[in-house]
Amino acid sequence: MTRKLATGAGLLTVLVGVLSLPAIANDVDASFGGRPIYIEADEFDDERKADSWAGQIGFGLSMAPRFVGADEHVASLGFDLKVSYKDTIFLENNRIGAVLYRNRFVRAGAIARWNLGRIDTGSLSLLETIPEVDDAFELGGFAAASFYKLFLTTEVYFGVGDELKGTSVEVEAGYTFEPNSQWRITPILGAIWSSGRYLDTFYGVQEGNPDFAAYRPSGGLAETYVEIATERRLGKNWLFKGSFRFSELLNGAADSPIVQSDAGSRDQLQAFVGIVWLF
Amino acid sequence: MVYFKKPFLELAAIVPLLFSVVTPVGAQESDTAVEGANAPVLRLLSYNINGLPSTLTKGKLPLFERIAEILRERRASGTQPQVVVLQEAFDKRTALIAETTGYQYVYKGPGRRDTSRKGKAHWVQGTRKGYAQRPDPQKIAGSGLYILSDYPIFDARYKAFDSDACAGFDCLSNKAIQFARIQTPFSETPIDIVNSHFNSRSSAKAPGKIVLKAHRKQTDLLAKYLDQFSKGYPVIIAGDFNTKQDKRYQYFRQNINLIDAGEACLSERQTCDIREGTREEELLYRTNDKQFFANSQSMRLEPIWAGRNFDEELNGKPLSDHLGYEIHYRILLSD
Repeated sequence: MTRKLATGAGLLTVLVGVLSLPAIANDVDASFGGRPIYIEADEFDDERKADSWAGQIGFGLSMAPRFVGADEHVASLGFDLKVSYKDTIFLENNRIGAVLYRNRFVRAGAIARWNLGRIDTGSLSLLETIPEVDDAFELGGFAAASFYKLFLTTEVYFGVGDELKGTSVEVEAGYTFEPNSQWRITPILGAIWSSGRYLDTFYGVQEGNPDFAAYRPSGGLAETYVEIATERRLGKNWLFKGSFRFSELLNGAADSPIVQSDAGSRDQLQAFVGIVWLF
Repeated sequence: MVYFKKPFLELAAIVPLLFSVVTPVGAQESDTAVEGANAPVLRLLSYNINGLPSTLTKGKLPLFERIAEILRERRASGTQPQVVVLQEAFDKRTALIAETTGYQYVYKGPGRRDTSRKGKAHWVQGTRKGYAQRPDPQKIAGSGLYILSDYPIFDARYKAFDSDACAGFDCLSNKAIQFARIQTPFSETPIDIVNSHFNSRSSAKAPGKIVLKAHRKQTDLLAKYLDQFSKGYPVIIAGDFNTKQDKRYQYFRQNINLIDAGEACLSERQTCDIREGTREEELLYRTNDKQFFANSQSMRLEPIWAGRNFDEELNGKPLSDHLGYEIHYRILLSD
């Protein structure tokens, strides 16, 4: 509520007004034509207290390409962790960040991502001449706009180590449907734009490789995806959670000899099903 | 606008009481039974004025001006409702109804920025990236509520609906319950006035079960905070409760133990007149606008007139998509 101090003139108005009232009367001073007195109101005390910490831990099964651009997909135990502190600091699996700006529709801030790189899980031995990519650290920013159940998020990352250079921008939009009070379904559309240097880390081929022609990808739209995410409430603190994403590699990523090889594919799938505990 | 802090308002409320003690006319009636036609009457109008934000609607200003004009005309003839509760006064221009109709006391309901909290379930909690989630519900409009009074309001509270007490598009406005305690010149006993606008049904564009659950939660909150606000004074709750649906109305009646003013009037037709042209079902159950009341030990409210008004058209347009719902309460005092 707007709070303003009473003014002397206002006090005079109310005193004159009420003194002119008859003791028992149906009607009041009909001639009153001044500005009204706006009444200040208090909210009822509410016992609800916002917790500083909130989050969820989930376990389940996940499926993902053996490496970015791989044709082979593998299932493994999946882990899903989200923690936030005072709705400002957040940790979400391999990302950590802080909300630095917020208004009615937009939130923005700093974000960092631990990129897991490309490890040799056996399949890479088929590509003996393609090197591993070590873990890398990326720094960047994010902005999120939401209106009602529609949301649009953007994340920008810059590689800061020797392993990973360049820029990657991820944009996704979704809308949450709620068929009933226990169930939410969120279709999501997304796209990833990457600079040439960034793509080169995962899709480039060095000169002199015996198996593949040298390749230097150019920057551009590298991936688009559709995803369906769903949550089904199982209890006060328990959720069933599932997501399924289909991605298609494009342009500099899709044209890579690695993706074009028998071990590669433009089509990428990611999925997770699990049980999540909310805290 | 002049805003008064509570100490001043409490003083303002006490002054007429002191004055009544030294005023011979009517003073002898303040502690004795007042019966019949001489008893004072409190006229209370509830009106959903359909003042959606101006970005969504156009051409509304003449309608708001006409509503204000009608209230001024009634004031000039001495028949104005001494208390008016408004709903859907989202458009800033609806303030002219509060400010140009002669009401000395205006209690505007919570605005967009006023508190409403994230409940146990958040309508947009499904956003999968944590930073896109909001700690508090996102509101793009205030409550749209007003209480206008000829009499001093010396206690005013509100409860904004939390995010688990709204559903669908209704969640975008900061819907709430307003509680006001007014000091009439009729008695030392104040009267509590409550105004609210409950969750709509089809226009909420949300699944029926979710909407019904939210409506019930709002009913529970009204019962809870009515109990907390009450000090045993008479109470009138008026507003757009969206209780046209039978199961909503039944739940509301089971949990809000007050008298339906429409029922009370129609059951006492010898003492309660109905406005010409008002159909009974428009006062009873085929309406979302309602008034309910409860008596106290020292004051009894008796509906003596009921009507759906503000039914005229301006340039072929109705003034609102609702009619006014007005009840005149005879105030009967006892020792």
